[in-house]
Amino acid sequence: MLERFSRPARDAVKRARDLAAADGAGTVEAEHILLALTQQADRPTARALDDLGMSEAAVRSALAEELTDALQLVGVAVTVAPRPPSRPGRSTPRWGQSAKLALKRAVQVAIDRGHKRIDDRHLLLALGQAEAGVVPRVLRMLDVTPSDIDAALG
Amino acid sequence: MTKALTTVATCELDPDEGLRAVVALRELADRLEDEHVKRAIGLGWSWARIAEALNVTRQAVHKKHSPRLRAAGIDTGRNRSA
Repeated sequence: MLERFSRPARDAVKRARDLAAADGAGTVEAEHILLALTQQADRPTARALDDLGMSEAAVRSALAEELTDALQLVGVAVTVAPRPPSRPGRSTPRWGQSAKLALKRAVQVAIDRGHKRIDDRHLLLALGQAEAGVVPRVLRMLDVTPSDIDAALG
Repeated sequence: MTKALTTVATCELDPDEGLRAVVALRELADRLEDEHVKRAIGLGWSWARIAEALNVTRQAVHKKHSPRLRAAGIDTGRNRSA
């Protein structure tokens, strides 16, 4: 599927896997793609995220807060610290369902917009489309809507 | 104070919240495992002992944790007792 992805989009996908590995995660999830996009500092997508208040640090804080809140639901009272900005790890985690869905949606977003190649901006738009899971809750926490993402990407 | 699991599952949480908590508990378990494997290695535990405590094979626990610990500069001990 990745043959239709642009270089920056492929880089983001690879980086997402490396970030998941560095975090010790068993699977690569949508939040790792989001973190990868925040790290590609020379890209318009990263600048759009920054404009939306979604720096890597802000996303990591929101992820930790989301996890803390979710654990509270079943009476587990621990405060989870944000993971530090990570460097690539060495293991190769499997692709989790939320990340696979994000990649599929990115392809569809590009098709819907009449674009031949799937770019990193399509990945971000795809993440904004998720209905359930960690990423949509983090977006709500940071007060960012799908149309905000669209507007920020220009 | 403890509550019956079925009470939590059926009376207090809707499926959306319940499933969210499941995902969070998996991540909590992963993070706890990372921390305690790191501590155990620091205390000189063998991979075999850690594996037995976690109910997994020595190969599985070594494969999962040794790259991360080595990257963090922790000696995972080639000569550690198997």
